[in-house]
Amino acid sequence: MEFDGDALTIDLSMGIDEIKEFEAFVRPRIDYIDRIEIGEGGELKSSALLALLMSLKKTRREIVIPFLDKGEYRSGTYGTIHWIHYD
Amino acid sequence: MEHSKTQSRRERYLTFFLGEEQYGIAIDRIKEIIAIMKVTNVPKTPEYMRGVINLRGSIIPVVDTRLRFGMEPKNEDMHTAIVIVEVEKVNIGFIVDRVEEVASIDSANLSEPPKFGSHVDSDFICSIAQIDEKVIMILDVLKLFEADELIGIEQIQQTHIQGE
Amino acid sequence: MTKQEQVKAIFIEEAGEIIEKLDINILRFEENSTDFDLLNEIFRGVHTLKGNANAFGFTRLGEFVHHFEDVLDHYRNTHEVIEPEHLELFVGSVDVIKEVMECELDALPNLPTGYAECLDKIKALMYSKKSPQNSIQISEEPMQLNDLASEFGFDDSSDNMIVQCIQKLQTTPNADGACLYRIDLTLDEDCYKRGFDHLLFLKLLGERALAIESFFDMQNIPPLDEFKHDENTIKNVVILVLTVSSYDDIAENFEYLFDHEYRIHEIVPIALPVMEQPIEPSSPISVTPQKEEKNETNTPSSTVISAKSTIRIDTFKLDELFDSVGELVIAQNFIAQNNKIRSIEDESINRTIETLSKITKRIQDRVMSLRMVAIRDTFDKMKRVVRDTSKKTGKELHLHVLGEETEIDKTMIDSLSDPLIHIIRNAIDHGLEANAAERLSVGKKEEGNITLRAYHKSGSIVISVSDDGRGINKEKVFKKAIERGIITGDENLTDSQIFGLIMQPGFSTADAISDLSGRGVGLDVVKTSIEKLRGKIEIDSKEGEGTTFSMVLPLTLAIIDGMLVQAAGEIYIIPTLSVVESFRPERDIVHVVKGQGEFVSLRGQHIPVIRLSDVFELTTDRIEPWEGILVCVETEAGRIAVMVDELVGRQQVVIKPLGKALAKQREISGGAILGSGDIALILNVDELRPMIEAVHG
Repeated sequence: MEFDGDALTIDLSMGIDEIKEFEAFVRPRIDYIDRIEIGEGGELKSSALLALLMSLKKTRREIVIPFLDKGEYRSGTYGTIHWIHYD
Repeated sequence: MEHSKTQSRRERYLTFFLGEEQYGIAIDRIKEIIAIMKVTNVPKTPEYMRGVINLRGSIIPVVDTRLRFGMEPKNEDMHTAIVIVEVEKVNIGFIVDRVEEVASIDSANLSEPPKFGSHVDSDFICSIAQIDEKVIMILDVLKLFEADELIGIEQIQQTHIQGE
Repeated sequence: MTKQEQVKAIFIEEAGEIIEKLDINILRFEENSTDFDLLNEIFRGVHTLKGNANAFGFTRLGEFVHHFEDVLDHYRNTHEVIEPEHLELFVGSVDVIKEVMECELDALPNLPTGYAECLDKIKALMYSKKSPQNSIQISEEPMQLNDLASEFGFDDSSDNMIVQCIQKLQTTPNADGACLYRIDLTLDEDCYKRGFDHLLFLKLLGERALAIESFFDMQNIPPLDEFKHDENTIKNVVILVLTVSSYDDIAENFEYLFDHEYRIHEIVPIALPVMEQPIEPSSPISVTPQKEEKNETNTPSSTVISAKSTIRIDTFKLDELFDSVGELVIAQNFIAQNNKIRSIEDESINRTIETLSKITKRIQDRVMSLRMVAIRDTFDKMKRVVRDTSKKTGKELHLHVLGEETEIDKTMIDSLSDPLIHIIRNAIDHGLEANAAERLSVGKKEEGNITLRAYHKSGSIVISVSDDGRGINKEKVFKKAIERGIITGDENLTDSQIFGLIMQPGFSTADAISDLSGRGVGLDVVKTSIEKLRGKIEIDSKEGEGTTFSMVLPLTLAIIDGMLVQAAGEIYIIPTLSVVESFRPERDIVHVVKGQGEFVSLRGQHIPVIRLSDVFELTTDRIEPWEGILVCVETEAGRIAVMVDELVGRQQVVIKPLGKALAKQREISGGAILGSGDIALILNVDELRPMIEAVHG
C-alpha cells in the first residue's frame, strides 16, 4: 500500500486480514484521501475489499476510485463481475 | 552594456513603411497581409476609418494608417498593402505604403521611445529599434486598438496579465 | 478543465435538460393522469437524474430524487389511479428538484423551502403504498425471462444488463452440452463467518464453466462509519453461468449457504417478447404487438419505443456550418451572375450552373432547418407561467395554444422566453378584468381566455398573445403620452402607433403597481429585447373586447431578406420586412416645406423624404426625388420615404457583423456580402427618422 500525498495505491489481492488493516488505515484519513488506485498485477481475492471500496465511495463521494468507475471486473478466475446500484 | 532584467532575446517583427518612416508590429499579432482591395466606405466614421473589406466572407474594418497617424493621405500603388492584425479575436486591417520584411530584433537593441518628434502619437509606440542606420518604431497594437475603442480596457488588462 | 470537470459539466447540462423536460411533462401528466407512457418517460428522467446526481456528489438532489423515483415507479407499475392531491405533490416535487439543483450548483448550504415537506409527503405516500416483498421461494421450474428481474427490485438498466447478458450467453458459440444457469443469492450478514466468500464461490463455479458473469448489488453497503469488514453487505447477487457441470455439481457449492440464501434456475431459451413478432396474415385481429406485451408482462424491461435516433451537436459547430453554407450561397451566386461565365452560352454549362444553384439552395434550406425547432417546448413552458400567474392573481382562465409545431431558429428561443413571459403576465394581470364579477357584468363568461399563437407570415414568424379582457383605451393612452412628453399631440398617429406608445420607457397607466408587471413598466424592455432580435411588436386592441400583442421575428437571425438599393455609388440593403412600397414619384406630389424638408403626399398622407446621401454625408450630384426612386418604409416612428438612385434587386443575404468599432453606427445594422464579393451595408430604418430633424433643422 502506497500513500502519495492524497492518492493511495493498493494491492488488489488483499486477504481478509489485510483488508482489516486497510480499513483501519483509511478510517481516520478518509477526509484527505482523494484517489485510490489499484497497483499492477493483483487479482481480487475477497469480496470484502470490493465492499470496502464501495463503502468508501459512499462515505465520501469525491474520492476518485477508477477501479470502481469501470463498473465491472474481468478475470480468468471469476469471469466478469458487474456491480450495480452503486449510486 | 546594461543588462535588462529579462533575458536578452530576439523577437520577430513585421516591418512596413509609411512614407519614409519604418514601423514594426510583433509577428504574433499579424494574422495576414493582403494587397489593397476594394474598401467599402462606412458613412459617418472618422476620416482614418477607411471602411470595411470582405476577407473570405468576414467583414473586417480597415484603418488608413497614414491618416491615423496624422500624415497626408497617399494614392495607392502596387506596393500598398493591408496588414490584418488580430487582438483578442478582433481583426483590424491597417493600410500601409509598403511591407518591408520580417525582422529579427534583439531586445537589447530596443530602447524607450522619445516623447516627441514623430508623426505618431508616442502613446502608440512602445519602443524604438536601432539597427545599423535604420530606425524602426515598434507599435503598441493594444494601445492602438484601445484608443479606437476596438477592444475594451478589460480585455487589454487580461492580455497583459496573461503575459506577452 | 480536467476530465472530471468536463464530465461534470456535461452532467450539469444534461441534468438541466432533463429537468426542463420533467417540468413540461409533469404538467402534461397533470392534465392527463392516465397517460402511463408519459409517466414512464417522467420516471426515466428522474431515474437518470438520480444516478448521475449521486455519482457527482449532489447528494441532496440524489436523495430527493431517489424517493420520488420510488413513488413514480410504484404508480407506473401498478397503473393505480393517482389522486389529485398526489398529482399536486408530483408537480411540487418537480419544483423542488429544480430548486435543489440550483442549490447544488451554487453550492448553497441550505435546502430550498419546501424540500423537507415535499420529501416527507413523498416518503409517507410511498410508505402507504409499499407492500411487503414476497418471500423467495425455491423453484426448479424454468423461468420466463419476464419474471426474472422483478423480484429483487432491480431497476430498468440492471434488468436490461442481465437480460442482455443472458442473451449473449445463450448465443455463445461452441456451447454444446452446456447449460445456462441463473443463480440468485440473497445472502445473510454472517455468511463470511461461515466461510463463504462471493469470489470463492465464483471461482468454484467457474472451474468447469465456459462463461460466467455476475452482478453484485451494492445498494446495501453502508458508509464507512457503519461498515464492518467481516459482515457481508453485498447481499444480492445474480450469477449467470454457462457450464457443462450438472445441476447437482453446481448444487454442491452451496454447502456454505442456508437454503433461503440461494436459488438455481436453468434458463430455457425463450423467444423474447420484446422483439416484434411478424403479424400472421391469417389473424383477423389487428394487433399492435408492443402494447399487448406491455400489458401482459407488467415489467419495465419489455418496452420498446422506436425512439428517434439523435445526436448531440455543439452549437458552435452548427454556427460554423451555417457560416460556410452562407459563403457557399454567395460564391454560387457569383458564378451564376458572373457576366463572363454567362457570355459563354453553352447549354450544358448553363444547366450545370442551374443544378448547382438548386443544390446549394437545398443545402441552405436543410442546414437552416437544423437550427429550426418547433416552438412547442417554449409554449409548454408558457403553460406553466399561465398556470402560476392564474393562481397568483386568482383569475380563472383558459389557455388556448395554436401553432405549436411552428418552427423557429433555435438561437432565438432563449431570447424569446423572457419577453413572452412578460407579455403573458401582463395580459393576465392587466388585460383581463380584475375578477369574475366584472366579466359577468359586461356579459362575458367568468373564465378569461388567453390565446397563444404562432405562425409563419411572409418570411417571418409571428408569435401572438391575445386576451379577451378590457382592451386598451386609446384616448387615455394618447393623453398620458402627451402628459409624459412622449409625443406632442400634433403627429398623425395610427391606432397601432398609439397602442405602441405604451411600450415607450416611462409610460404606465396602472394606478397601482402590481408585483407581477406594472402595465408599461417593463414593456419597453420587452420591446428592446424583440428589436435586438430584429423583430418588432405590434399591438392591436378593441376596448371591451381584448388585446393582442404580436411579436414579429425574422425566421432566422443570420439571414435577412433585403432590397438592394444604390445611392451615391454605394449599395445599401433595406430589410424587406420594413418596406411598404417603392416608386418613382410624380413631380407634383413632391413638396418642400420650409424648415421641415421634403415631403411626398401619398393617398392623403404626408411622408417625409430622407435622402441617403444626406444621412450619410455622401458627396454626389444632387438629383430631385422625381429623378430617383423612393422606397417607402415603415419605421417605429411612422412612414418615411428613403430616396435612392435606383433599385438594384432583392435577395436573401447573410448578415455579417461589422465589428465592434463600427457597430456604434446606429443607422447601420450590419453588413452583407453580395454575390459579387462587394459589401453592402444594411440600413436600420428606425434610426433614419431622427435624421429629419437633424438634417432639416
